[in-house]
Amino acid sequence: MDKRTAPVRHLDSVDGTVYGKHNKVKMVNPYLCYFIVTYGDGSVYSGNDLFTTGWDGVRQGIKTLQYKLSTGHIINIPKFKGYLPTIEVSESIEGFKMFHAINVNCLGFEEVVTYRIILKEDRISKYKIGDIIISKSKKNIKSSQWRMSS
Amino acid sequence: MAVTITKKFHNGTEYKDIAKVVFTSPNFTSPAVAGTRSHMPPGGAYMGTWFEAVDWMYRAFPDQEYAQFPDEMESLFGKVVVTSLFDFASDTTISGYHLYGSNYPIAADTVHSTDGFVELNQTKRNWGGISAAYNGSLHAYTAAGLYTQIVGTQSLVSWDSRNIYWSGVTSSLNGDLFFCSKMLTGAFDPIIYKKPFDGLPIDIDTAGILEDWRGIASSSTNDIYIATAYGSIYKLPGGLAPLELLLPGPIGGLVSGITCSLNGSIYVTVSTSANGGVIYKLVDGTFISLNQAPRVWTGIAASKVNNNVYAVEEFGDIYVQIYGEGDFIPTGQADTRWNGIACGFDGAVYTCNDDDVYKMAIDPAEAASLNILCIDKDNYGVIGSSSVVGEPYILEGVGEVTEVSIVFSSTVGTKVVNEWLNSTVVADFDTLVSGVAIGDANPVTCDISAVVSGTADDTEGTTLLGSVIGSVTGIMNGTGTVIGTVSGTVSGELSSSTNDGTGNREYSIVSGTISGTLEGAEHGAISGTVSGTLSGAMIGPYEFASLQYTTSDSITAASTIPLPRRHHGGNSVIFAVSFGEAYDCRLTAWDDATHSTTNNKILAEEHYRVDAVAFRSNSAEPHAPVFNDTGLLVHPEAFDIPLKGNEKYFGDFDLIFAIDSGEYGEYVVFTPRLVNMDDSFIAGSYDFVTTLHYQYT
Repeated sequence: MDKRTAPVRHLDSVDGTVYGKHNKVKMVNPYLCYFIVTYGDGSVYSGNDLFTTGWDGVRQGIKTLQYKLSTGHIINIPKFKGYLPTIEVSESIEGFKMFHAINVNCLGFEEVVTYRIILKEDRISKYKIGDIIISKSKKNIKSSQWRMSS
Repeated sequence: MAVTITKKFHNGTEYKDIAKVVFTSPNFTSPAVAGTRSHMPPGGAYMGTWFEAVDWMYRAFPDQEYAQFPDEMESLFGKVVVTSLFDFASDTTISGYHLYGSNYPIAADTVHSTDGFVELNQTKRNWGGISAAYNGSLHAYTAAGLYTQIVGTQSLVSWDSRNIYWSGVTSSLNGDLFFCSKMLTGAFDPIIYKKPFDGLPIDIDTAGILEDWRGIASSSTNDIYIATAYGSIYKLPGGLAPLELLLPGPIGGLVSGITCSLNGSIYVTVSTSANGGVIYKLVDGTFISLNQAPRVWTGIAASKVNNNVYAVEEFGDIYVQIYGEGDFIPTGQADTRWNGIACGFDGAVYTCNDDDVYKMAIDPAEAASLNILCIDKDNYGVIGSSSVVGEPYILEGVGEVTEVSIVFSSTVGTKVVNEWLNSTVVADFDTLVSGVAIGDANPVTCDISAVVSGTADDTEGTTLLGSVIGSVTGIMNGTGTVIGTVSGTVSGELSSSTNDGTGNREYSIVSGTISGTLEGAEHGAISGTVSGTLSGAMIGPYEFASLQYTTSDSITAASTIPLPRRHHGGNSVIFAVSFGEAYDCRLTAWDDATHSTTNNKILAEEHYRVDAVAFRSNSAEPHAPVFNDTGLLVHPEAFDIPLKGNEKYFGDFDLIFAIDSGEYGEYVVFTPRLVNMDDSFIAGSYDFVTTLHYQYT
């Protein structure tokens, strides 16, 4: 029996289970996933959710960057020269959004290291919510949303 | 920065938020029914494609067909027929016809005169149907207007230019004319239109009955019968309201025509059905399928003097049933797209196709007279029987033009320098043609049958209408210049900034080779080879892409399949970035909301295809994003590519919200369709979802 009061029952750590014809997918609650940035002066800036991340409000001079998922996972991103996190989502014509991952692009000395934080799990993929896949590339990602470390 | 992406389609009047794309069999004409029948394979023939909004199901226009270009698409938006091998990835030369608009090119590329019929030399239009009135005058329609005959001539001139998508015309014994129109998304509501013999035209009060009218016929007692797309028959007793439902239908297939014979029989033709086209005859209140070979019947007419019944076939022959009995037998006409047939009260038989209107010749003398009393191909004026052809005139004050022959339509002998109205000029511009002040404020219609080797520079703000038959090696430009037809080689530049004021394009035809630059606000049909630059907006309602050639497949010689299609708001889904930036965008499709599998038969077998393009519009008009500048292309156009999860998709590209001078958007637009679904495809529900996969900060 769900002992929570009715108005908050839908706000689960896992947003919901999506039943398909051939697969069943669990996805995080995108309203409860956000980043936490600390600066050199000790101040802390917390993001909103996966819809309106609040990343454009982050100042330059990041000391630490971590992500907190609705499932309780806390992912600490190592120190890099700069960060550009992107939310990977697929949106159907019907309007449903499936959040796949947070791709935290980290600026290294000669390459971009991407920390891919998985946001869903299903019967097909070997990855679970909160898993991290690290990859490197030489790609040039141009964006005004890069934020540099202190 | 978050990103906001809207998903919309245009219903012909306004943008609507799209909720779902639904494919049905073509016989689903009711939005209420279509909404419950998602992704029904048709078992052949056309697909019904619907865009669902919160308020209504909108039928996408035109319908999809898996094997051939839809007729409606051809008649309203044109088509491309490629005549030589073309690979967009490597070739820069396109050879073929690019035909669109309700007016096909004026220059006839083929002659359709046939045994027993003579061409009446009308302006080349997509003639959709024809009727011969009691007084002998002809009335005809295209998708975009009604035409009536000039008394004493064979010329058909426009008298109603509304885009009502007319689908039928008939003449009753008392001289009244009746028209009906079809139901299309974004068009006017279908109507039954009456032009009384001695009164003002009126819309028949149908008391709220809104049907997809596809054929209309009058009986010998002046009753009017109207057929709907799928076989319901209504009756206007004596040609007067109220409208009565005679037979509820349906009969199998898409109705293309109806006629009443002298002996009271009612015939209905069906262009497409499960077993091909059929001719039905009403016998004792029931439609009986006549034992004919399946053909794409496009029209039927019963004689007014005997019981003969004539029927026409698309890309086929004209058939006759002698005295209303026995089989329909071919009359041995040319294999062309016959769109309509009518019988006059004098026994004459008229027919029409994409090119012209024809009349069955009674004797050679009449054929000859018909040829004389024709309008000229450019529709710029009637050449009267008293025309003086070929008489040389030396023009004064027009630069170095010499050896000009003028044919005046009605003012023979009235030569006013700088003011040639409705005339045909055949001139040799053998040297520089500069500063030719032809016309001042009056438009000049002329044909130039010569080589223009200099510069025809009209800086007087005048208008040059007509044809250039020959080579243009110099420059023709001017603020008011309208070049109607260029048939020849253009190695120079044709440019202008205005159209002719009638909504027509500046370059209605270019047939030949263009190795220079064609630019201007609007362009028309191009028939020929383009190896230079083509810029400017292309004409088309809600159209946003100019050239839809594939980058992936070569187009085979003389092939009409695959056929590049024109994209416009009426048949496409438009994703627009209205805020922020989206990275690594890709358009694809999945089985369901899990966005993880593609086991669906439609996806797995790659029946789901799209034409798609990502671009930045150069029009700020929100309902008509326009793309025609390759500099604003975000991701190249793709033609008929399958969408299948992460295996096959349209992408990847970035979309950025932009508002700049001449740059708006950005947009991803796609036209969905199902292909290669034949009778072997088992009917059922095959829901799938189309998704845009992207990233944002």
